[in-house]
Amino acid sequence: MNEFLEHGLNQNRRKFLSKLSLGLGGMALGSLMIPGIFDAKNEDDLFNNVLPHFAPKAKRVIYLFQNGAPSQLDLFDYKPMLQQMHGEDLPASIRNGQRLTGMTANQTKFPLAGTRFNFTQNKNTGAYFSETIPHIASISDELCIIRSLYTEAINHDPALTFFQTGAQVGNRPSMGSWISYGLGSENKNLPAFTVLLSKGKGNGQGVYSKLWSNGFLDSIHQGVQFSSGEEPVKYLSDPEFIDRGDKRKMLDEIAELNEQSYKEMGDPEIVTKIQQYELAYRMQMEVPEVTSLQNEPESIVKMYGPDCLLPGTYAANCLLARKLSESGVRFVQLYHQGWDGHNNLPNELVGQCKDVDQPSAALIKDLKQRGLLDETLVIWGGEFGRTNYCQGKLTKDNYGRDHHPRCFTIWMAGGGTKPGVYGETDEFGYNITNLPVHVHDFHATVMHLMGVDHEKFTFKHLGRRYRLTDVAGNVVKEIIS
Amino acid sequence: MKKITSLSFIENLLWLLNPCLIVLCIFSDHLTIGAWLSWLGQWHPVILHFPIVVGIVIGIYYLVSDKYSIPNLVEKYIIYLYALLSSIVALLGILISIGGNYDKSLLITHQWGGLSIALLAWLWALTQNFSWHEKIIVKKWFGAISIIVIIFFTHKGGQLTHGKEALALPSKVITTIPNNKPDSLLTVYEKAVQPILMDKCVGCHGGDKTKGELKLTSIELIKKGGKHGDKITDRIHLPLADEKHMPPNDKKQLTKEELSILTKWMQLGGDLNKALHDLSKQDSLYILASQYIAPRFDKIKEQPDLTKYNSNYVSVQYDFHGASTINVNFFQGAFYKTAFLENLAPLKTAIVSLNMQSIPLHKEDIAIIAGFENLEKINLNYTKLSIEDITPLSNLQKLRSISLAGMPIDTKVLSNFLQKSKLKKIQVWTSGFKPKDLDPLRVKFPEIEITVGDNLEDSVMKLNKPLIQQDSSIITDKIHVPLKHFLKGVTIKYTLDDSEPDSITSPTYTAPLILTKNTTLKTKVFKPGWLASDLVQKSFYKSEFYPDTIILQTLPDPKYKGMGGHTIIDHELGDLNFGNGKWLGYSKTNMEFIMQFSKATAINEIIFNALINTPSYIFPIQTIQVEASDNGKEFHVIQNADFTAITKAYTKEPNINQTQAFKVKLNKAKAYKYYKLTLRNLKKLPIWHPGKGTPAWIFVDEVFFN
Repeated sequence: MNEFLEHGLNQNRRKFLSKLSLGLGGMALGSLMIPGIFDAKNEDDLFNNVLPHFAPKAKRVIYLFQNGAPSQLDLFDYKPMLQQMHGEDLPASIRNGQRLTGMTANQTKFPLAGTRFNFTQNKNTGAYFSETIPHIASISDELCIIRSLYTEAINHDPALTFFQTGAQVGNRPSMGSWISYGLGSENKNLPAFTVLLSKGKGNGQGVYSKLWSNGFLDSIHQGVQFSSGEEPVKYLSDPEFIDRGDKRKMLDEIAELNEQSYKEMGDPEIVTKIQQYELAYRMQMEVPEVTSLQNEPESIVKMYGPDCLLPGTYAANCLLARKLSESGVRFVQLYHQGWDGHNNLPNELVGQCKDVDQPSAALIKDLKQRGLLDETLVIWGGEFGRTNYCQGKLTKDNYGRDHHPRCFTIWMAGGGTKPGVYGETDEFGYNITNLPVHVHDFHATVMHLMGVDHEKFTFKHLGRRYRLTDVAGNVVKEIIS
Repeated sequence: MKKITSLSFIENLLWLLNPCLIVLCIFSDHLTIGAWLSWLGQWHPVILHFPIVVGIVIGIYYLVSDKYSIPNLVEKYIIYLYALLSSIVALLGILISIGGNYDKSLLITHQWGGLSIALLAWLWALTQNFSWHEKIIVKKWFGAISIIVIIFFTHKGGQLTHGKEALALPSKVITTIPNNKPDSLLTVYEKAVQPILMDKCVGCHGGDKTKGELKLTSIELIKKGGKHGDKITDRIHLPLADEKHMPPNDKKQLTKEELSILTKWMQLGGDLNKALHDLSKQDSLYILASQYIAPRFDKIKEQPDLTKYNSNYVSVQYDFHGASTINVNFFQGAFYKTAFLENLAPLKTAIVSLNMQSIPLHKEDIAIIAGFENLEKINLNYTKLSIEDITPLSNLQKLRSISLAGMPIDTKVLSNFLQKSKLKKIQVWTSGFKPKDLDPLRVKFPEIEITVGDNLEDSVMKLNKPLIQQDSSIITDKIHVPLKHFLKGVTIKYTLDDSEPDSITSPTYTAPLILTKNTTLKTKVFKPGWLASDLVQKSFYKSEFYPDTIILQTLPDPKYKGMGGHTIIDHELGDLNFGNGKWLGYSKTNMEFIMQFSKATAINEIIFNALINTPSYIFPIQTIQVEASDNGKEFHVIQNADFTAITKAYTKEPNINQTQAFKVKLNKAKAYKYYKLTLRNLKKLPIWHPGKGTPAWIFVDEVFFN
C-alpha cells in the first residue's frame, strides 16, 4: 500500500503541469490586485519625489561664469616668487613634462611672468586680492576662496562644457538643468534656469547654447536665455487689440488641440509645449516686473555702478540676477566673455575687472542686506587657470598667459559656504600642493549645498543611469559652514 | 479513495494560494484592494490563532515523541490543514496591511515571516511521501524550526498591533512627554537636557533606531555610551568636518548654548534628579538651562500632502524630503489676497520660513503670521509695512532672522521690537538711511547681527555715457538721431559745432535730432549728485555722389579684404572691431584705387573714414593723393593732402582706438569721370612703438563725395 501510494503521489508530467497551471493561476490572481504591475515605470520619478535628500543650505544659485579663464595669478593666487624670477625659465622639475596647448607647445623658452599688480591681504582669512579688484577685496570676509581647483580639459570649449555639464562632450544636461529637474522652480511664473550673457573688451571666447542645454532631460529644463537688449524676454507684450482674456481663450483652445494630438501620438514634447505656452502666459505678468531695472533706487544703482541700467552689460546682468533669484529662480547663470589673455593680459585684465569687480561685489552686498545671502549660493570663476610663464613676448609690464588646467582659483559666497581660503598651490603657482578640488568635487559640493546627494540623483538614459558627477566627485565638507 | 481526493483538493488549493501569496508579498507596496477584500482582511487576527496552535502542537509532538504513533494519514491531514491555514492567514494578513498605518520595518519583517511559515508548511506537506521524511532527526529539526519561526514572527505581528513593548519585560524608561510643570519644580534634565536630546539626537539614537549602538532613552544607557564607549560629549565637540562629528552634518546641529548645557550637565555627573533651583543663580548651567526653550514635539502626525496649498502665487514646500518643517514663498503681489495666508492655517505650526517679499501686506496679515508659532525666518522686504505694523511678530519665540529691506526705519520702534524679540539676525536697508544711525542698537544688542547695507546715495560717482541710437553715419537726405540714457532724472546735453558740451550753455536733448549736413555730434549727461559722464561723439557724413565702379589697384591684406572695393562705398561703417569684415586693411603697400562715375562729376570734397588703433599697429593715413582723368588712362594730380602731423604729435605710445575722418578739399573743382586715389601708410613705426621699424596699417571703411 505504502509504495503504491507513494507511486501515485509522486510527480508525473501530467500532475506537474496541472499543478503548475494552478500555480500560475494563483500568481495571476495575485497580480490582478496590483494595478500597473506590468507597466514600465520611470523609476527616476521615484528619485524625483525624494528631493531634496536633506536640509538644503542654499535654495538658489547664481553662477557668475568668467568665460575665457581669468588669470588666478593676477587676481587671487599671489606668488612673489614669480616676480623675483621674472623672465627666468620655468624649471623643468616644476613643469614635469606635462602637456601644453598648441599655442605654446612650440615655444623654446617658458619665461616666468610675475604679476604686474600689487596685492593686499585680508588679515582674517589670509586671502590675497590684486589691486584690480578692490570691490571684491572689500567683501573678502564673505568669500570662500578655493585656490586648488583643477580640471582635465585644456581648451575652452571642452573645459567650459565640463564645468557646466560634468562631461567634456556636449550631450549632457547643464548643472542648472539638473537643478531644475530635481528641485523645480520656486516661482511657477518664472523658469527655474535662466541664462544671461555679457561681453567684455578682452580677448573673447564663444558661449554656445549647448552649455545650458537640457541634454537628455525634458526640454522644459533647458536654460532660458534672456536677451541682452532692452526687452530681456522678447515678444512677451500682448499685441495690440488682444487682451488677456482673448489670449487665455486662445491658449485653452490650443492646449485642447495639443492634448488631442498627444493622445494620438504620445510624444512627450507636446506636453512640454503646452507647459511652455502656459509658462509664457504667466511670465507675461512676472517678467516685466522682475526685469525692469528702472525702478531700482539710486543707491542700488551706485552700488552696482551706473552701467547696471544699460541692458546687456555685466553690471545689468548682476542686478537682473539678484532680481530673478529673489523672485525664486533656482539657477541664474551668467557668462562674461573676454578673459582669454594670451597676450596683452595685464591691460585686458584691467578692463575686464572694471566691468566685473564692482557689480560682483555689489551682488553679494545686495543679497546680504536683503537677508538672502545665506540661502543663495554665488559662484565666481572661469573654466581653468592661466600659466605662470609667458606666452609670446615678455616685457617688464606686459605679458600673455596660456591655458593652465592644473590649478586655478574660484570663489563662492553665501549659501552655506564657509568664508576662508581652501587649498594651496606651489610657490610657482603651477601645481597644487594641498587639498586639490576636482571639477566633479566642485559639482558634488554645490549639489550638497542644495540638499542633493549627488550619488543618488540620477537619470536613466540609453540604458544607464547618469549623474552630474558621473562616477566621481567627493563633497568638500571643509568649505561648508 | 475518497480521503485521497480531499487531500489532493487541499494540495491543489495550496498550489493556487502559495504562488499568489508570493506575488502579493513582492508587490505589496503597489497593492490596491476593494472594500470586500479589505473586509476579508479583518479576519486575519481571528484566524491566525489556528495555524499557530496547530503548528506549535505539531512541533511539540515531533520534538517530544519518540514513537510517532499517530497514524500516517492523520498526520498527513493535520499537516495539510496546517499548511492551508498558514497560507490563508498570510494572505489575509497582506490584505489587512494595505492602507493600515503600521510601522514599516516591523510590517515587512512580519509579512515575510508569515510567508516563510506558510512556505515551510507547504514544503513539509509536499515532501510527505519521501522516505527521508520519516527520519526522526528530520522531524525533530522541523519541529524545532517551526516553533522558533512561529514564535518569532508572530510576535512581530503582536508588536504591530499592541505596540513595540508588547510582551516586553518591564523596564525603567524615561518619559518622553514634554513637561508642563513650572521651572521651579523641574530638574535640569527635564528642563533642558531631555528636550535637546529629543530634538537633535533621539531620531537616530533611541526609539526605533540605535545607530552606533547608542541609545539615549535611559540614564544608564546615556552614561554607557555607544559602540566603542563613545559618550555623547566625545562626539559633539568634534569639528563639523570630522566624520565622527555628531549630529551628522546634514542634520540639525546643536547650538552653542545646547552644547554647553549637555557638557556641563554631564560634567555634573549626569544627575537625573538635579533640580534646576538647586543650582546657584550665577551658575552658567542654571543661566543657560533656564533660558532654554524646548521645541514643541507635537508634530503634525501624518505629513499632509502640500499639493493643494501650492498655486502660481504661493509655493509651499517641505524643507527636504521627509522633513516636517515647511517653507512658504509668496509671489506676484498684484494677486495677493489675505485668504492665501488664511489657507495655510492647518500647516501653521510646521511653517519655519516665510518669504513675503514685495507682497503688499496689511496689519491683519501680520496678525495671521504672528500665529505661526514655529517660524524661524521671515522676509518682509518691500512689503509696504512699517516697523510699528510688525510689532506682533516680536512675540514669536522661535523667530531668529527677519529681513526688512525697503521698510522705513524708526530706531526707537526698532529698539523696542528687538528688546521683545528673540532675534539673532536682522537685515534692514532703506533709501535715505544712514547705516551709522543703527550704531546705538548694535551696542545695545550685541548678540544680534544687524546688517545694514551700504548707502551710497551721497557718494559721488561718474555717470556712464549716453547712447547714440543711430547705427548709420551717412546722411543722404536727413537722418534721425535719438539719444538715450537709462538713469532717471539725467539731463543729456549735446553740441553740433565741435565744441565740448557743458551743463549750462549747451542745448538739452528732448527729441531725436535731425541732421542734414556733415556734423560731429558730441554729447554728455549730467545729474546733480553725480559727476558728468565721459564725452561721446559721432560724426555724420553727407554723401551726395555715388561712384558706379571701384577698381582696386593694390589689393588689401587677405585677412582684411572685406567685400573688396564695394566695402568702402556700401554706406555701412565698420565699428572699432577691425576684424569684422567691414574694413579694408593695408600695410605692405599703399592703398590705391580708381573710381568711375557714369557721367563726369565735379567733386568738392572727399572724406575717408579710417581707423586709428595704435596698440594694434593701425596708424593715421599719412598722405592722400587725388588724380583725375576723363578717359581712365591718363591721370593728372589735382590735389595732395598731408596728414603726417597727426602721427608726429604722438610722442609716446598714446593708446588710441577710434575712427577719424580724413578730408580732402578739391579747389575749383572741374567735372571728371575718373578719379584715382592713393593713400599712403606709415612705412616705419616710430621708435617708442613695440613694432618700431615695421610698417603701420591703415584701415578704411568708407569714402564720401560732396
